[in-house]
Amino acid sequence: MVKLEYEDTFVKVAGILGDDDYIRVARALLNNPDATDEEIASATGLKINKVRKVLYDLFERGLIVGIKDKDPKKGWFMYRWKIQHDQVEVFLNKQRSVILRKLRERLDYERSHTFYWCGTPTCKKYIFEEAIELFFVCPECGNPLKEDSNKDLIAALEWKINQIEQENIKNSERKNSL
Amino acid sequence: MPRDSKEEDLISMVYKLVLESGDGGILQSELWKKLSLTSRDGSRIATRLEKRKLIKRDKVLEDGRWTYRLKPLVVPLSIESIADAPCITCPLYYKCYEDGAVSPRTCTKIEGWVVTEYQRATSVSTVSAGEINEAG
Repeated sequence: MVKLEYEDTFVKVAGILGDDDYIRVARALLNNPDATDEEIASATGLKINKVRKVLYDLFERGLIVGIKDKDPKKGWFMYRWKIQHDQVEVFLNKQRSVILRKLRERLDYERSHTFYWCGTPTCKKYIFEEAIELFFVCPECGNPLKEDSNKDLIAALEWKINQIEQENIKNSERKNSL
Repeated sequence: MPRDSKEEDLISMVYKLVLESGDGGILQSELWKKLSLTSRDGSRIATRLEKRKLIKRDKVLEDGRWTYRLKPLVVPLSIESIADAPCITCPLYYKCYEDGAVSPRTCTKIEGWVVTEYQRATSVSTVSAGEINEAG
C-alpha cells in the first residue's frame, strides 16, 4: 500500500480499495467537490472509463453520491460526485468489526483444534478427526500426516486483534482531541 | 493538469507538521523555513489544504507583519492495522462465514496476511533491540 499516513481519511480508504488510480480520483474529488466524470478525468489525466470504474466502485460502497445535473451547454444529463464524509467512518467501522469478528473466529478455531499436515506447501492441513478418517495419510501427495504446531499463527492472530483494538482506541482519542 | 506525486508528498508533509503543532497551530512562515519552501509555493499548498477542509488559516499580526497561523481542522483516522486486510476487497466477501463454503476458519489469505504482518513487526522490533544492544 502507498504511504498515506497524513492524508484525508477518504483518500486513505480509496487507497485500500484499489490502486494508485483510486487515490488520484479521491484526491481530485477532495480538491473539487461536485466534480463531473470529465472534470475528474482532466484533473487526474486518467481515461474517462477508468475514472467511471473507480467512481462506481466508491458509489456502490456508499462513499460518494452522484447528483444528476443537466449540462447547460450540451443539454445532456451528467452526474456531479460528492464525498460522503460521514459514511467514510461508518464504512471503516464496519470493515474493522467484520475483520475483528473473522480473526476472533479463526483464533477460537485454532486454539480448539490440533492440526495435521504432510509438509507440502500446496497441501491443506487437517484437523484430528479428519486425519483419523484419512489414516494419517495425505490424500493429495500420499505423505504421512504429522502434527503441525499452530503456535505462531495463534501468536500472530492475537497480535493482530490487539493491534486493531488499540487503533480503535487511538482513533477515538484523536477524534476527541480537536 | 494532473498534479504530480511530488506536490502531493509536500501537501502530506505540510499537513503532518500542522497536525503535530496541535491546537495552537503553526505560523506559515515557520513552516516554510522548516521545509525550505518559497512563500509562493507554501501558500499554494496551504490554500489546497484549506480547500480540502483539512486545515484552517487564521490571519494574525506577528512582529508587525500580517501572516497566517495554520491550524488542523480534521485529524485523519488511522487505518494502518486493516490497510492490507484481504477481506475488504475479497470477491467472496459475502460468502465467507463460519460454516460457509468459504470460511475465516480455513482462509489462507487471512492466515498469510496476519502471519506476514506479525513477522514484519517482530523482525523490526528484534532489529531495533539488536541495534540498541550494539549501541549500548
